[in-house]
Amino acid sequence: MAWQVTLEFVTDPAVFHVIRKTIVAAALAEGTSADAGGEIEVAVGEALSNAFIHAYDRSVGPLEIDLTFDGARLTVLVHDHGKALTDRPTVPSTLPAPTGRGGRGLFIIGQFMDEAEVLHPGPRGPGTAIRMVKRLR
Amino acid sequence: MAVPLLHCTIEEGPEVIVLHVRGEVDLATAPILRSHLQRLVEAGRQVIVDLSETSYFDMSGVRFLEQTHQLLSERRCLLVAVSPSPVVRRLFALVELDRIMPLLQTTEEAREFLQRSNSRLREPGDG
Repeated sequence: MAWQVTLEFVTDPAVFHVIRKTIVAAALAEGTSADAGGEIEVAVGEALSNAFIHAYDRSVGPLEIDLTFDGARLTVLVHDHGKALTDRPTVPSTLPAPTGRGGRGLFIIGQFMDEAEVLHPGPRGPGTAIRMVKRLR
Repeated sequence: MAVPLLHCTIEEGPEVIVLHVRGEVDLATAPILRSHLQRLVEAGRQVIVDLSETSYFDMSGVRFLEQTHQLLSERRCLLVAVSPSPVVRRLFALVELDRIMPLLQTTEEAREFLQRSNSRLREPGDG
């Protein structure tokens, strides 16, 4: 059965584990493996870190996550309302140099998910959205 | 009472120090890992990072392991990790951390590995 859920919260790193676990729980409930769930958890964690560090300059700002399941694939769309992630936001397909600009986190998202892209502006307007998709079954 | 998400303990030996990392290493808890890694660097011994009870690890922790490797190598000390989960193992491979920090199955295996590497380092003529 297809479903859609939106989570609304702020980018306080102390609650990131709750957000990650909530999304992994949804993926596991739809039949994904523990390892695939672990990969989704890291991908979501990197998206949350990016929002806190880059969009909000290490401060707390609003974040929304849309979870959409189409019966086979889970789409996670992480929206922030901060500044752009990079000048030309893309998901690197090869390992970038560790410059501290969030490039390696995006690379990991791209490797751990089946699809990943950065949208700027995001579907909800100004700010950045990271859209990532994982096939669960 | 809040349960700490990350609990690090240091097991000191004469030549090798084992750091047990229990729980989750993320943006919120990585500073706990960093402060323990700094103590290991100051001790200047071979280091085994035990990840057998590490349930989550992301890039927030990777950069501190990279820094620790760099600082330890300046003191001719090695950094190895044992028993990462399949997801952590894949993460370390993707960022090529496994090239500078060998991954082993058990702490016993890691101790043997360090002993062999240590005797190679101490061979005459090696400087």
